[in-house]
Amino acid sequence: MLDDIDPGMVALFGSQNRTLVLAALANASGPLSGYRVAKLFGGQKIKVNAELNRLAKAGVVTRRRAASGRLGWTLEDPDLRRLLRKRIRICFAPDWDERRPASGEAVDRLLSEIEASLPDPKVDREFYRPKNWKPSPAGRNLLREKVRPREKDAILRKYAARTSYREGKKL
Amino acid sequence: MRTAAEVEELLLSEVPPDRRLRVFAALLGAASGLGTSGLTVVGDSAIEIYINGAYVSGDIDLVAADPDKVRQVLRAWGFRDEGKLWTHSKLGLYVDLVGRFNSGSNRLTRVVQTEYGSVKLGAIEDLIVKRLLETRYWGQKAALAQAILLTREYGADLDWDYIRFFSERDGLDDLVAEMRRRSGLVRNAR
Repeated sequence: MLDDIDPGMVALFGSQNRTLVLAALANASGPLSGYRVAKLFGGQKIKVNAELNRLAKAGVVTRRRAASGRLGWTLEDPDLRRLLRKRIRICFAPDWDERRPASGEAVDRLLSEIEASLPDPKVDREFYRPKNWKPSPAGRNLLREKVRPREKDAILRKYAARTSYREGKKL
Repeated sequence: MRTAAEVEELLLSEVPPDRRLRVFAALLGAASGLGTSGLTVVGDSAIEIYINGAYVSGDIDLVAADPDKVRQVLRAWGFRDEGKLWTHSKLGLYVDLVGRFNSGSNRLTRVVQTEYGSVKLGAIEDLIVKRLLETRYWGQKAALAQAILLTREYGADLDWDYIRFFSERDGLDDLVAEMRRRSGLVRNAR
């Protein structure tokens, strides 16, 4: 079972099991069966069903028919959904994939288009690095994580694998 | 634990290339016994999973609570320890065990349940902040393009207060505004 979720949410909703049940429904695009909810976070089916029934009695979750015709549970309150989706992010891969507009090479093309539309760093220097700008010490530490050891790209090159655009960058 | 042959068969024949990274991470989490909580995909490989990009061989950055357990599995699956990376040329996978602790937020990570197990991804907010820092420091267009695409897809669910904290600290507010404008997220998503 997922055991390192946001403690603030667990405190708010009263139990880890309840929080995860609600988070599973908040992150889903359609109704989920009790079995699917339990599977998503590794919970016990019997406890998940008991929680769903408690939440249904309180009017928090609703039973709806999915596009497949099967009955499942939904969390419909948009504010509750938004809060949980921000703080606990769990989902099934196929459900997640369906909501993403593009995949594979289409995404790479999209990235290239976005990149081509950006100002040229050699021409518009101020856009990228205004005069007198300096990273904070903590920001510099984050940048340090991005400086790649030469050895890494040398290994990738040996296997004709993709090297990083950060190759050779120094702090 | 799946054998090296089973892992090869699965990743090379059954899993589409753009799903390979996440399935590999899920298998590794399960086989190492670290599970979802103990293994996190971070960096560019996490972005690749988030944006569903075409899989091109590159390195995979992993944060593992117990790197020794991961090394044992990688060795059993036929990976070679080459110092900075664990390599498997047939699979086209190059693993970098970047550390034990994720420098970013644990609260904002995402868990994705695949049919082979679950995988945990570093927080999008951290990926965005780091790309904006790179954009500013090195004038890196590719980094800004990635941040814009992440915002375009996930903007409505992001913790903008978290991003704002870092952008104010490091003078990135104008880049955040530009990123939001270009991703069509003009309204504040609080």
